Amino acid sequence: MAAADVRLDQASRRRERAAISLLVILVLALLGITPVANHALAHSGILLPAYATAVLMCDVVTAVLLFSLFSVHAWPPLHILAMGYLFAGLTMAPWTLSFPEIAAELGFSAPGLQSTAWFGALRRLAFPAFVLAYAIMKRSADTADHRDPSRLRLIWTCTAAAVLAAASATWLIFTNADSLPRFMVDERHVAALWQYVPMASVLLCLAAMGWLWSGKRHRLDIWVMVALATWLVEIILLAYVSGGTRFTVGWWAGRLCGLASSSVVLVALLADTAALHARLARALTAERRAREARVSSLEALSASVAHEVNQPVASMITNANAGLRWLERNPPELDETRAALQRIVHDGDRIGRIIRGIRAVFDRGENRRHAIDPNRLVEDCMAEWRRDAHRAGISVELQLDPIAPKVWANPVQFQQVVTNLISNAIQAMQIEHQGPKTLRVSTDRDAAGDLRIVVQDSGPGVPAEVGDRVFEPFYTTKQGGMGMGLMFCRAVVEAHGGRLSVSDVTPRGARFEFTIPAQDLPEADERGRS
Amino acid sequence: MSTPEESVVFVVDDDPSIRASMESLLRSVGHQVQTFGSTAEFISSERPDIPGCVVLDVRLPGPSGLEVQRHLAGSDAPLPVIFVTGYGDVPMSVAAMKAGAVEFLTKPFRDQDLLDAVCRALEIDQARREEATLVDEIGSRVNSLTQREREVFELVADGQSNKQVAAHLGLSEVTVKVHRANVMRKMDARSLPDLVRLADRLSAHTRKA
Repeated sequence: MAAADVRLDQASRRRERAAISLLVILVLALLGITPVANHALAHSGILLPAYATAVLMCDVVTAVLLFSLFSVHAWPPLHILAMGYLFAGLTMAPWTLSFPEIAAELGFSAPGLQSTAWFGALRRLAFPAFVLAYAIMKRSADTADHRDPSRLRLIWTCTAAAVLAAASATWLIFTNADSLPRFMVDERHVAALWQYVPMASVLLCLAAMGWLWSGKRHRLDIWVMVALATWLVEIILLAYVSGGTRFTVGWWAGRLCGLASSSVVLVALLADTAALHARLARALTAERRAREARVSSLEALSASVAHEVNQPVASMITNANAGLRWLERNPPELDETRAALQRIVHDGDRIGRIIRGIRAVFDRGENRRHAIDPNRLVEDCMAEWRRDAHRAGISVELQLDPIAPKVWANPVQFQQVVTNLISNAIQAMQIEHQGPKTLRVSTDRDAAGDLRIVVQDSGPGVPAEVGDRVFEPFYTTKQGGMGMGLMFCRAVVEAHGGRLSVSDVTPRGARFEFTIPAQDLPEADERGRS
Repeated sequence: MSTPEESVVFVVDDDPSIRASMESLLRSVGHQVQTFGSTAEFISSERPDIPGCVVLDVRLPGPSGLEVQRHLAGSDAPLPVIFVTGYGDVPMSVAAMKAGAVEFLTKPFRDQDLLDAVCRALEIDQARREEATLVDEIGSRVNSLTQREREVFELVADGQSNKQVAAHLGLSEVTVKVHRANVMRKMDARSLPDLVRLADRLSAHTRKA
């Protein structure tokens, strides 16, 4: 399925390079900010809700996209990752509201000094933990399970679980803020206990990245790793560079990294979705074009068939009428009648050949292949055309080499290829009639040990500038022809792993040569004859 | 309908079976038939000087049936053409009929349709040949006139009286009468209207040519 390889295919080198360069830029930014990290930005707290909203939106939208991806691919780890994004995003709302500055602006009493830090810690630990869970689960479930019918229910369960967890954590923290362990000393400075939070987060991040890196990496994983790395930079900026002090340059830089971290996967998913959409549109257009081509080639085929059958039918009717008129004469002309009847038989044979040809075109079954003795097949085909050749004054030379290998092929199609080439050769020699008319059909074993069959005539030949175009559909030099015969021949020969080529011969004539690989034939010829 | 005593039908078709069947059908009702596998073969063939017609496939290797029709129409012996085709293509049949084809038959055709068309075509050719012979005859009669007699012939045929002719040519009326009698004899005309008809026929033919 084309859609499956858009997001879940192997990460490309180009993508990995892009991810690495992004990380390098982040690290450089980190180093650049370090000297001024402790510079406090007064009254920048009012930007906090905007920041929190942006992160919340990014996380929730990412979660939605991941869930929808999961609903399509049914790849279990995806829902863990989606849940991580959803939960991390939801913690942003109480986190912002718990800031004393924000709470005061909104007109309700701050729920307590510790609650902000607790929400921060929750988010900081939960997200890498979910990613780690995703990475671990990915290892054990590297294949999609399409049989699971309860995907939609699982998505709703996960969503409900994430919302419920975030809500209950909010309630717990808001109501019990003061009885929880203390992370903050005062409004701007952290307690000693806080240092374990970034450390644990960093460890979780590194573990998740390690797991992702060591396994088979999908395209999505690269971006999850970039998100984790950005997350790491955020933590380093927030916890270490800025020393945990709020509203400093380092702290805001960390927050921006957090926003970047939230949006990395989102942007990647959206870019992929857009690319997927474009690809899909292209595929649809291509498919429509292919369908139209199929329809028109089918129309051409049926027109060609109609014409091919119409000729002998017309001939039969005229012959039958002529025969009746010869009989009605007084006395009846029996010899003329007999000749007319014989021509009717001949026309009937011709229709039979056409019908067999049509069958061969549609007989695509691989399992209908048998071991074929090429010499016998060529003799059989030639037998059908001997009379035509004789009537056209063509001398036939058969050179059947007994060492010509047997091949494993579809007998109907194979016979049709040889028949087509022979009939083309005969027709080519009927157009002009100077010089001797010779049809040469030979079989042998080529240098590679494969079967080679050559059909050569002394007709006008194939001009060099035409060359391989004779194999194109609808290319024809015959006035009534539709140009399907040689196209069909080449398709059949290539389906059998061989090659069909044409060349000009001196002084005149065309030489069609095709090979069919000699394979180790199955012991029993009966296989596939069911 | 009467088929001319001696006539020939040319059948041009690249399909040997069709060719043989048509030949047999035409021969079974007593036609003389010659078959050709290509238009080139037909055009370069020596055709006997008897009434004939061509049964042509529209699509043929080399020059197409329509081109052959055009070629024939421009020649001294514009043989009537009957088209047969595998495809009942309306624009093509219109083009063929406009160019003067006797009939346009779609394969498979009813044998009687072909035979009728052939008879009609042979009659047309017969009539054309008789007409051509007659015109030739008239032409040679005109050629036997002296310069003065020809002038008198043209003016008389134009409806002028002896007096007017005499005034026009500056001769006496008696001399004109003598010339006129000679013209009537040489042209084998029994009466004045007969003479006018001969002149008309000749001028009609020279206009066509």
